[in-house]
Amino acid sequence: MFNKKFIASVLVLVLCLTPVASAAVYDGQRVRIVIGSTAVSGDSYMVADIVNRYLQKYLKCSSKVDPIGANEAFATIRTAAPDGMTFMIFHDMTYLGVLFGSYGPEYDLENMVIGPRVGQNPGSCFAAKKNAPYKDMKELAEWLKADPSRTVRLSVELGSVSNLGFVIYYVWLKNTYGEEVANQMRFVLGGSTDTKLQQLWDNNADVIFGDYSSFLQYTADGVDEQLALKYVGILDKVPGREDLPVYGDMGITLDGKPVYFSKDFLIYLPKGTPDEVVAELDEAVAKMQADPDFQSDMAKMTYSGKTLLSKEAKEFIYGKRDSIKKLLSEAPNIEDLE
Amino acid sequence: MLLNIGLALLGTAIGIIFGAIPGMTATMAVAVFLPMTYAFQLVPALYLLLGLYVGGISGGLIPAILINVPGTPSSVCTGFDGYPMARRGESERALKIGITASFFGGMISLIVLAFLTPPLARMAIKFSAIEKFLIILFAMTVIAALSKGSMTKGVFAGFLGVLLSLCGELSMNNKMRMVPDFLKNELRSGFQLLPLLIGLFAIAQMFQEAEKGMQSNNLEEGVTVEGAQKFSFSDFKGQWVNVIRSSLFGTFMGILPGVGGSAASLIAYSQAKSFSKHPELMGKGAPEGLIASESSNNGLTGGALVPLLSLGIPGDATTAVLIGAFLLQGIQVGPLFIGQNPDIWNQILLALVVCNVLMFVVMFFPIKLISKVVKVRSARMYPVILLMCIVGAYATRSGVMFDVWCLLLFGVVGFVMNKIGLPTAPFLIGFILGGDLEKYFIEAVKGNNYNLAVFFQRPIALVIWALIALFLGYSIYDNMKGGALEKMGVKD
Amino acid sequence: MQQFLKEWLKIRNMHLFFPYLIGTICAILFVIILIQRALRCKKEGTPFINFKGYHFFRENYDKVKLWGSVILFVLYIICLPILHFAWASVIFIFLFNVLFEMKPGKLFEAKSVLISAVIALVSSWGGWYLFFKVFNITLP
Repeated sequence: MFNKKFIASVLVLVLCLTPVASAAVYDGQRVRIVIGSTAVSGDSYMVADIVNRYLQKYLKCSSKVDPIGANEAFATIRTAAPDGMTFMIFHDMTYLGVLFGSYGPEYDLENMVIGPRVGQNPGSCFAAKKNAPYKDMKELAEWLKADPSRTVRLSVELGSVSNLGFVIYYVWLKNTYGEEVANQMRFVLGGSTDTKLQQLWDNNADVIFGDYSSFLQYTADGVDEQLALKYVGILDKVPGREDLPVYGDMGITLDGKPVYFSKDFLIYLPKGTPDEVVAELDEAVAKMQADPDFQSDMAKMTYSGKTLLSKEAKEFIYGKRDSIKKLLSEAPNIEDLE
Repeated sequence: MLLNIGLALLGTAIGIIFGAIPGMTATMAVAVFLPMTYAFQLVPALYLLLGLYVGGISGGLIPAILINVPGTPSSVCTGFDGYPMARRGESERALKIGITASFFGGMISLIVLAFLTPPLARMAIKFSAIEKFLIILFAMTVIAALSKGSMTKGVFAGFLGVLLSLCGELSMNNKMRMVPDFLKNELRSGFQLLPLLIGLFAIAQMFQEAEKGMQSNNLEEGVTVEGAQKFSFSDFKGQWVNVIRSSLFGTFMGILPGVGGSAASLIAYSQAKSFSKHPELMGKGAPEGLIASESSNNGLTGGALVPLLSLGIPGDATTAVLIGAFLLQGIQVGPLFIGQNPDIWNQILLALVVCNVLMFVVMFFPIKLISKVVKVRSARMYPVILLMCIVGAYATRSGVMFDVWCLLLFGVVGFVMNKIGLPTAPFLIGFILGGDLEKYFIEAVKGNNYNLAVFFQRPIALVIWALIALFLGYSIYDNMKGGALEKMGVKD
Repeated sequence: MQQFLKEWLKIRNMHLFFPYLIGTICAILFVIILIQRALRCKKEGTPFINFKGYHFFRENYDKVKLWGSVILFVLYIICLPILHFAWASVIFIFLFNVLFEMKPGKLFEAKSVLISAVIALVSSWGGWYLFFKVFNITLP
């Protein structure tokens, strides 16, 4: 019995070590895709999982998504061999971590090779209890202005997209309604979505930040009043949900322009990755974008399958980072608003 | 249906393997198989994943009993009594008691899940950070029970464990503490539980055996497997209260989001001890402790599904991964799930029955063979254990070499602790619970305007305080009594 | 107390509260352990610090196996990323087996070395096949 197992193992090993003659970099290779989240129920994993399936198809490689968390994913991209066999799929947190000071300058975008954009999630949002006396965050501003003794507690996580959503709203509130109204807003330290929901149910927060899809069930009709939520501000348009209050549509602006912020999921590769690797990824992503199955898979999860090839993706993400950098330089330190 | 049962069988068997390999857990098993479920419909996928869950939680008892290395964090208490039994040659009996207790735990929690899900879910959200802090504190009291005769040392080791768990970044404010500068990248998320756990137990034991020359096996001298007491179902005589109490503790801890499986088995173990007629035998190979630990950690499975399916909030780490399976199929779990998907709900219950039965069958009958592991000589066994530990440590975070170095580090730490007489089990328990203790304390105090009185104002909190006081008082009394007997030269 | 906690649990320094608290508790417990020992020593008339006759390792401990296993472990981890899982494991599981099987007088026995080789091959490649190929787990 041992012998059979042993021979089988040796055979498999030999098969795997035999190089496959091919011009393509990825053909027949084993690829490791790391993501900056450890949760397999979040948008990072869901996007990476869908993209992984289509990349396998178009790159003809075998690949695996490893949810190792932001810290480990960044470290992996800094140290992995630049042969394209290890890359990261992650959202705006990649540069936000540096902008918020959680990560040092060695993690700057400049120290990575930017690959194509593989998808977007427009659903970052704020939700409040269903019976809250305002229907969206614009009304919330009016509601605060009407009575200076009113306060509202927003629960967000530090140093993440939710922090950004808070800061954008705060700066807009201050510029439009004045500093007093902005200061009626209190910051509550939140954690995972579960923690924030618990804060809301315990009445330790009034408005919580999260992802559109993770709040969806609580906003449906027929949910216990104690649990029921409503969306009060969503950072970008979710396809098929034109009824939701979007930041830009409510008149929330940044630099005078209405805000529409989606999380952009890009492929990030180690510094020094050769151009032909990136070109092959571009090619596969272009095919993926044209695949109607990919588009419907993404749409089913309320994500967008609008991709960008590496060159545009790089320009795009650098531009996005610079505008947010500017915003953060004007914004107060969130820790002072506690 | 046949496909479903086949998948459940596959899942349960693989889950048991994952659970039995030190360092690999049910959570890991479910996460590894998650991407493959995309090819299935939701219901077959759930049979597979629930099989992995039930199998993974149960498999942990095998190494805990046979080699004193908890296969999963929730089987930490299983070894306290299971391993001494194995050393007496009763490995088969211990394994069978553990498996049977697991089966009862799983079924009892399933009954709770089937009939009480909506009211329990409503109750679960009444447990705020205040109550959760106190429950974690309650679980910590087991340290007192474990460190008989040297209470101060045990408690000291426990707090050292808590201190160590604080290393790294506090996720609430993203700031690092207690990390030397040159390790700030490696230790940002602190030391990982699994490398610490298997290092402290498996690797430290390997070093100890090496020191002794690797000549023996795990049996006590002069003991044979053949001559030992055999398992019979009458081992459960007089234990039904223990089974039901422990299963319900496990189920209840599962229902509370954010209170993990290890806390469940710790509390069940300490309760079994305080209700026991022979508390002095606990920790020396009493089936009671084994039953408490195993029925509570399997009780967790049904419990953890309660908040998942009725609130959309996972009850433990494994059910958090299960959410991914639902999402991959485009199904939202939340307060409306059961009402909108009665078919899936029924299938989940059925799947759990099937998986628990399969777990029992798959483990119970070949156990005779597995139990022979105690006869393998250390020299041949430890290299293979080491190999599995390395796979487990490396897989903890899907491929971080630092975790393998931690395995070695804590192997040495465990070895040294044993040498200087600091008990490792309280240290581990402190480490497991430390992070949650801090998190819930800060949340509770911040959420209630920095007023410490909140810990004494809510009725549920007072009940938990009473339990803590009762149990601590009992342990101290027991400890002093033990000390007095020792002084008089009486051995227990 | 309220003011004290409010100051300590500010976002800026909340990460330090528990380390100081637990550190203090540890320090107190350590002092208690010392006092307990001092009291016991006084009662039994033994000196507080007594290195005479103290051995960290057990008497006649197996130096080769203990230190050998520590050194092999370190080398194993160093070799893992270089040789990758399957090859590094074959080599080191074999060496561990040989080391642990050594007996005084007769260090290497042909039959025992052969068994070591078989165990190393089967467990390493079997493990590699099961985890890497079947379960798709990332290995070094």
